[in-house]
Amino acid sequence: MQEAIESGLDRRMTVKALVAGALATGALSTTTNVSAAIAGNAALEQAFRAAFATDARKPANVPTDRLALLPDDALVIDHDIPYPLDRAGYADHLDFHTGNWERIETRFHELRSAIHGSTGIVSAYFIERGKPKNAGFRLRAGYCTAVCALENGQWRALGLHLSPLAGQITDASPG
Amino acid sequence: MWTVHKSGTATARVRILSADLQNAFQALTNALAKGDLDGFYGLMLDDAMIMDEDLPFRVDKAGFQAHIAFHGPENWEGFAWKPSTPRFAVNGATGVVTGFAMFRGKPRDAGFRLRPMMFSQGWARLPEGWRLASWHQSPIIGHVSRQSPG
Repeated sequence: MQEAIESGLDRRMTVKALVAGALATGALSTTTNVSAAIAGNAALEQAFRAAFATDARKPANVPTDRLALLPDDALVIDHDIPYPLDRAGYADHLDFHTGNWERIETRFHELRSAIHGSTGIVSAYFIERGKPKNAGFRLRAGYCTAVCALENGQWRALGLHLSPLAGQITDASPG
Repeated sequence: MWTVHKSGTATARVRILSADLQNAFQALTNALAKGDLDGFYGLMLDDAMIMDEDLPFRVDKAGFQAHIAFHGPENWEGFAWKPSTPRFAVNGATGVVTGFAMFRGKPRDAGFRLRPMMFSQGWARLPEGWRLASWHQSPIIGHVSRQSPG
C-alpha cells in the first residue's frame, strides 16, 4: 500500500516536472493538444455511453436512447441478428425487444476510444443482462465497435457492430 | 453488388467519396488476396482496433500482424477472405463498410475450413488517403446461437 502511494506521488511529481518543463521551453501547444485530445475522447465516449445508458427498468426507452446515436444512413450489425441492418431495420429490431423484457441493460468493460481527424472509434467488451418476460434471466457477453463521425460538434455512429464472444470461440480451430 | 447507403439524400460529393472508399476497400481486399502483406498492412492505422473472427480479445495492428503470422504456411496450405455484398456509408472523412465474408482454406493436416461471418470496418480519410481504423469480424454462428431465452 505504502509503495502504491509513493508510486502515485512519484507520478504526480513527474507530471508536474513535465508541465513545468513544457512551460519553460515554450512547448505549451503540445500540452494543449494533449488536453484537447483527452477532451475529444471524453466527448466521444460520453456520446457512445449515453446510447446505452437507459434505465434497466425502462426497456421501452431503449430505442430512443440507442437510435439517438445513429444518423439516418448508419449501418448496424446486432448480436442477435444474422445479417447487417440499416437504421430502420435496427429500430424495428429494438422495438421487438421492448415488449419482451422486464429489465435489460448493457454494461461495458475495457472501453477504448481513438480519434483520427473527424473519425472516432469506440470499442468495448459488453455484457447484456436482464430479465426477459417468462424466462429466468439473460447474460450475453460480447464485443462492440462504433465508428463515429463528428458532425456539427456532435459524435454520431455511422457504424455500430455488436457481436457475441461465443462466435469467436466456437469452432475456431480445425481439429 | 456493392451498395452505397445514403438513405435517399446522397449528394454528388458523397458518391465520389463512397467510390473512393470502395477503391480503398478493394485495395485492401486485393492486397490480402495476393498475399501482399506490405500493401495490406500499409492501409491500417497502427492503433486500429481489431477484433478478428477467431480471437476473443481486441488487438491493434501489431497484435493483428502477430496473429496473422501464426496463420502462416506452418498451419495453412492456403486460405482466402471472400467478402460479399458490402455496403458503404460515408460522412465527411468517416467511412463504414459492413457485409458478409467467408474465410475459407486448407489447414495442414485437416480437411478444409469454411467460416462464415459478418464484418464491419471503420475508415478515416486522412491526408495520405483512406486508412483502416477498425475491423470487427464476427462468425455468424455466434449471432444465431442461444440468442433467445426460450
